[in-house]
Amino acid sequence: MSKAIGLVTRACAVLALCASVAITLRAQTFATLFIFDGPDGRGPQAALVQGADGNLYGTTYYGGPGCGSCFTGGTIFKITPGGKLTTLYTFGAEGDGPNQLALADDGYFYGTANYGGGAYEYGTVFKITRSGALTTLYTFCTQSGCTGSKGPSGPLVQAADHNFYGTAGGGAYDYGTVFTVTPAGALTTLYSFCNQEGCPNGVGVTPHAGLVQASNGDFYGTTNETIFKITPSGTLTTLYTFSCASACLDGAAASGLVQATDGDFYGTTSQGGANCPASDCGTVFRITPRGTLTTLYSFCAQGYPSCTDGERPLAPLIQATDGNFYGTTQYGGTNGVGTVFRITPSGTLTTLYSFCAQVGCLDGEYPQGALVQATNGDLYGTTAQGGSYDNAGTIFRLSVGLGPFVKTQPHNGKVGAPIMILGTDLTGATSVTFNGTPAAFTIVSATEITTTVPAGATTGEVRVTTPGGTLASGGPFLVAP
Amino acid sequence: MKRIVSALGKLIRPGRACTVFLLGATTVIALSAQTFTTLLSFDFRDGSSPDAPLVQGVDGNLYGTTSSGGIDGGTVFTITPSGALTTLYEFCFLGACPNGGYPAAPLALAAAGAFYGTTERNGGYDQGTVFKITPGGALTTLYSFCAQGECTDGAEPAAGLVQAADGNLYGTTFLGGANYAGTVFKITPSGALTSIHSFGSKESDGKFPYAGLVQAGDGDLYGTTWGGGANSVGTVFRITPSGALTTIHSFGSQPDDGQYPYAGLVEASDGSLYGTTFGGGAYAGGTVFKITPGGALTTLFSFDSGGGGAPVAGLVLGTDGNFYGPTGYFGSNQGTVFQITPGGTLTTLHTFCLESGCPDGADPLGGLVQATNGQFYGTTSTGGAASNCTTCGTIFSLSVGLGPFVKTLPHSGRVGQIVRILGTALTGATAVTLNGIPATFTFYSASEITATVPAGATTGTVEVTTPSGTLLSAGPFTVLP
Repeated sequence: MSKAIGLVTRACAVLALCASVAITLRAQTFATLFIFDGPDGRGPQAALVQGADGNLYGTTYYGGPGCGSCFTGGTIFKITPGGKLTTLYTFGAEGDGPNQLALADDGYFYGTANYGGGAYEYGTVFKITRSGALTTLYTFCTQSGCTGSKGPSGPLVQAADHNFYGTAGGGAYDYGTVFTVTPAGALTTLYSFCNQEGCPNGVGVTPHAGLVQASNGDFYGTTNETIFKITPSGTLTTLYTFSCASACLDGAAASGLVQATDGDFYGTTSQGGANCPASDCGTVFRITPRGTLTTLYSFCAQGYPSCTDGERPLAPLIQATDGNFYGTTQYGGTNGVGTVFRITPSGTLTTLYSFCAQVGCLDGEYPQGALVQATNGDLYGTTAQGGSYDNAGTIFRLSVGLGPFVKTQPHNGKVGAPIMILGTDLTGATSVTFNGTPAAFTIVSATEITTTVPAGATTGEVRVTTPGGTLASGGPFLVAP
Repeated sequence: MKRIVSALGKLIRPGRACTVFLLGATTVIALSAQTFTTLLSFDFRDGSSPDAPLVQGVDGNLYGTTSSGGIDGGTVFTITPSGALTTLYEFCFLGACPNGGYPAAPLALAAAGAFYGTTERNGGYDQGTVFKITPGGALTTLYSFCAQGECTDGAEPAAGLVQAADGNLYGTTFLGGANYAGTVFKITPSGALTSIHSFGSKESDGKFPYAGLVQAGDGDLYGTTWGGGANSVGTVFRITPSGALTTIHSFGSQPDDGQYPYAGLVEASDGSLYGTTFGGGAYAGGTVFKITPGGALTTLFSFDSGGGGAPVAGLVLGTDGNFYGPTGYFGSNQGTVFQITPGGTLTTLHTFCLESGCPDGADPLGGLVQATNGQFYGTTSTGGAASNCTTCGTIFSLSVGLGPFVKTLPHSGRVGQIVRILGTALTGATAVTLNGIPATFTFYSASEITATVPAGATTGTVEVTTPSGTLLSAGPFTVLP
């Protein structure tokens, strides 16, 4: 039941006669924070998420205590910004293969397990506390012949209605679904994708990357062939269909999307593109909320298969506080085992790091998950492999010179709604404003402030004044009507 | 050390683009008084990828390991100073290999004349071993890592052992331990292992020790970690034989500081410790540094792409008081052997792979050893001129005009204790003195005599008078109270 991952070791038949070792490219610093060993987890594939305590929380898809060499299981862990890792939970009977976590407004992390759990092992929905107490909220497809959602592979997203939305396999046509689940675990399949003549709303197969809720309240997502939007009540519109009939010049197999501060959505495709329309080069694209897609960059600009600019981005992009997008490619780069890159909104790409720059690839290989910008300004990510003979993956930090900032949780809310503000060195904060409107607040810790959306607040940046300076939210906080 | 495995099972580097970074110029001086000789090119059947330095045995021959080849689990071999190789042991490759495999570390000559080493993989739990091997090739596996649950006893030792004055052997494991970030362990000559430190228990701790330890004149052990520390790019630490560890330097914390040390330290007569880092420095090409036992670190040299860089190996102290070591793949350079004075003046003695196909070897990952005939011996991990393998690596010698000398085994002892004196052409020796006090001695062979620490002896140089001249010990022999 395990979903396939790219456990492809790219054998290199050529003795390389040249190498570049650029650990420090001046304005940026790469550091390996943790090397997985198997018993502490194997194969982290998902992005990390910052908790209210300032630590990062994540999952490994395999491994765990007593199961170091297993390609089952999986763990949930906490890692401090300095790199001390604590395993919080090990999967087994209650699901296997955890996906990316989502921090919810109740302080729990919510997530899905890709498989395991129940008699038919179609995965679970769970919540977990920061200290590792896990509650299974829902078990997919507990009945024989089930036509509901099953085998979720993406993260959940908490919407303004406090419920969670996600994508899964299964469904009425077995081509995947969009589902919603309440914090208490009541799950409803909102839409079943189909791939047959007469399917409503166009075809779409196997959504795997989860959803993003846009500022208009709708959810945007991808399937292997399409980009769609779906309302909270389940009305789906196909916005764009990748043109793979002859050649996938515009890419194929899109990742999850991110809505940028300009209102458009940005994402990657892991296949196609102008430089190898029939293979796995991939692209970076922008799509407007109405569905106009622009390819910003096609990987392997040096010609396939050299791909020193990266190849096969599997992960969604993130928009960092400098307005640029940052992402990873699973393959390509100087050593063929993946990169970290930056791309401007207009499409100028810079390779920031090529993995396996170190003897033994101790710095990791084959990143699959998205990056996260922690409130200290640094980027954190995972590699699914490399790090040692165990080949169990790593956690890394990349400093690109961006300063500290604050994040709101959630990113939207009505006047009076309670809001968490996550940051660094918040002790002694003297004011919190929503687009200039002061708000009452409580300092919970150096990394967390709680506040409520003040009367008269309008959509815009949240700012926190601290003794160390004023910290601004990376993007606007949306004041809901 | 590498995990990218070709069809032959040969561990090689992934493909790298020929990018030259012109980050600055370093003036290097070419000496003309040295003689470089390729003694042996491995052909896979007799071993491949010697990744570690050699050690001279009691019989005057050199002993080492290859990390693959043989029956493809790596080998232990001996080679005469003139280049005649004998394979002593072949580690197994397929199936259960309780005796370990893939040794990446050097052997340690213990006082009793046997060698102790580690393997990075295989063993009872596939996480590496500690073994003992006699000069005749009888191998005993003393310990298999991960014998304790969750590998709290360590996993994947990448480094060799050092026999301390207490007779026990001390080493490191790259992974495992209470925090999955590596350990320092003590093992008795009979195989009783005690983990004396687990790295990563707090944020500032080092993590992932790749190198072995050195016992300094103060009785404490000093080493490096590849990662961890205040900047997550490595540390220098001191640990007492009972396990009290102090991080004396976090790399990346001062201008031109190095990053990611793979190598250990060597103590010089000035009481400072000298080492290398793989990355960092003024040109991101690694450094040579000096550090006092108190932790004051001075970057002596920053490598750039012009004259070799990215050293994986450490330094050896030559009998002339200078340090000698190799650099690895960096820029367009396939590795060098260099000399550096304690003041930081670097001279390149040999540049590998100036001929197509690298018949003289490439990528010297292991360090050098100065044999008692005065010559340096080293290994290259790849290249070579064997008819059936040009990537299996080599063994080379380098003469820089230094004369023969003697070594004591061990380096310290009490009055009345019998110690070995190893040398070259000792036949006909007429006198042995310790710091001027005559000692009784017994002639064993041209390469070995034994002497008794005389009453009234004080710490100082050992002198052996032979028909061809007087030989001095490379460093002082310490008389213990």
